[in-house]
Amino acid sequence: MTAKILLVLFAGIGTGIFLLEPEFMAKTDILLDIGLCLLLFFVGIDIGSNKKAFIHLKKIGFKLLLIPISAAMGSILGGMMISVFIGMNIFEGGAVGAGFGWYSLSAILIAPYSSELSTIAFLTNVFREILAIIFIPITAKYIGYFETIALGGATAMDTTLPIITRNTNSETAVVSFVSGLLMSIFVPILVPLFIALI
Amino acid sequence: MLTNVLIYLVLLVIGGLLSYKGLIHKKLIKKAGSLQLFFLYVLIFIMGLRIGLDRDILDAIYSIGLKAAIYALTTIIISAFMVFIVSKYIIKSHLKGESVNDS
Repeated sequence: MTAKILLVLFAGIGTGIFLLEPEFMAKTDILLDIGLCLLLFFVGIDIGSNKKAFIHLKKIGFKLLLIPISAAMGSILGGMMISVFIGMNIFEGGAVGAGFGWYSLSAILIAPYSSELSTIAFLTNVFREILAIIFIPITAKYIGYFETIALGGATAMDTTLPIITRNTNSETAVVSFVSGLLMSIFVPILVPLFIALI
Repeated sequence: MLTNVLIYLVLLVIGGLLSYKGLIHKKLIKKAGSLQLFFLYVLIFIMGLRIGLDRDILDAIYSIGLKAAIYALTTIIISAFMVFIVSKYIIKSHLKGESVNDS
């Protein structure tokens, strides 16, 4: 699946660079929204047809909230670690890591502080989404299902949710949506917090 | 953002309730997987299209691409590692290798 995903992704990037004008971007907003809505409806059908999923999730209970919390902590820690290696301020690294893949918002939140850091955050989170799309099938197969949610970060509730659902099971799909939602809520709280700490 | 989240949630719940209550024909449920895959590829193509169309992304790749790639890779690796530890030792429900999409 990863090879097919990569092929389709790069076909899209190539088409965007060589065959279309930048003005086409506005139309992709509508296409993306329609595509996402249809996908999420089918994801819902998938989840609802597996009645065991909810019983299993109920058994695990509130411990499931540890998934977005640990994914968020790991992401921030990763950002901080890299900042030490490349000679940046540790909290700048934390702010980049706290974007959780939501590139537009994290870049906007950092922009008033530094345009360079804002660009780094923007591109880091774009790459993060691409890496998530590529590595979710591999992570699901060789490491575990819940770990795929960490890869998706804030996008685990929308753009990467269908990939997670496709490669895992109904339980993981439900946890993925909730986790993505919580991580999306964390972004506008944590990014300004790290900026304030610099 | 809030409106989008609500729309996603409503669609997920409607789809879920319809199939949970058995209101969706079994044939459609069986087809849901392949329809999902089709829309998934369409979605990934559009996401690629948006990256290719965004000249800001392309310009940024030339200047700080490597730094951003290292940040992206490290954040997802440490993030996945933390979830691995939590799901294995605290949640103790380390799902892996079961039938994919067991619906």
